[in-house]
Amino acid sequence: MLEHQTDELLMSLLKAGDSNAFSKLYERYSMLIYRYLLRNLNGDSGKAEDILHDIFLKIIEHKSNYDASRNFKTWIYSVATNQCRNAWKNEENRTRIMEKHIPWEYKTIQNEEMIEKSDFSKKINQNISDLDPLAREIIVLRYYQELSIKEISTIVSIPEGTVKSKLFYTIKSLSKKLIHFNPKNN
Amino acid sequence: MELYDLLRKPTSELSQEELDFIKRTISLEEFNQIKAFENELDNIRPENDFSIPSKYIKDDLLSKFESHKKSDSMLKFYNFPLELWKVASVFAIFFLGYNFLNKLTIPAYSVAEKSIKDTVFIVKDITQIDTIFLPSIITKTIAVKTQKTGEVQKTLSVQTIDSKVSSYNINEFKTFDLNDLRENYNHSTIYFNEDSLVDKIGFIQI
Repeated sequence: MLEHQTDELLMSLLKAGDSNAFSKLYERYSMLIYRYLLRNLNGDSGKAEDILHDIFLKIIEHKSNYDASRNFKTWIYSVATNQCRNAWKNEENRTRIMEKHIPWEYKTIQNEEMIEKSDFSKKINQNISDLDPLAREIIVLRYYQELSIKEISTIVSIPEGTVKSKLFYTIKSLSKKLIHFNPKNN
Repeated sequence: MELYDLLRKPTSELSQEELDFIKRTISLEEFNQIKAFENELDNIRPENDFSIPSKYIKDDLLSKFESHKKSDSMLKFYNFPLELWKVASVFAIFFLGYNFLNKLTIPAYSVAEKSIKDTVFIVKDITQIDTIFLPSIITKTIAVKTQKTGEVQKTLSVQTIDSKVSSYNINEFKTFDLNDLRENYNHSTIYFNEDSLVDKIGFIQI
């Protein structure tokens, strides 16, 4: 029954104490947010889990403060983005994350057909890790979380034009670094 | 117009104006390279990404949700009586103030019981008291009850401050009209003589 309800309605039910609504929201967003956090934290799964827990705990503890007129999806991504920025600001974490600078590999199912794609994935992951935080957030939100420009603009709090411009120049820079993966170069 | 929008647009659909716009920034060749790379990036979506958070996170959050729900309902439970307490406090202050004023105006009397209705205060042991200052809120009637109903006629003398005395037979429950007293004696203070056998007096607000 809750399957087809909007996030905002689920939040209203959650505010009224419906634990099924909370479970449904968790099912919808925990993976997405976790993977977003992983990419923003260079694959630090411990830190990503801590932040994921904090985000949903905030939802529980401050449910009455949630503004129902706000889009839940962009709101939860904004919270996740801010939490990542805080983690990066923390010098201790930064050192830990930088030291851990992998290049990390996602847990993926590998088969022969995927190997080539996976190679590209690894390289792109490495290069995304090296981007400045804002560029990384925007690229991850656009290409891994598949969010619209408007949603990204709300989440990172910059105008849509700036998001597009940042995307274009980041892609340009990545295409130069990964030129051997560029089909136009083959 | 944004270069990123043009990147997402099929090349064949680009207008001359758009092509000119691109050329003012970068070469068409470079633009096409970026476009091809963007297309690769667009296909990288991690359908095969199986990174998942620990299931303990959900379990922990659900237990926190339940305990939070309990504390919320406890808060509601305590909040409701809190409002009631505010109302009750106002009434208590009024009631205590009323009693305090009564004690001031009826020295040495203790309000021992209530009868007839809540607005009647029966005062015990009237014999030890010879003066009642009528509280201003008592407006109409004094009821005086004898110690034993049906006894031989008893007398209650009601005396005003100007020493005018009225005697009443009080072998049964009797009421005195204060208005009548006031009219006659122009004062609301009543003296009881010491040998009065009246054991209770009630002020009835009618």
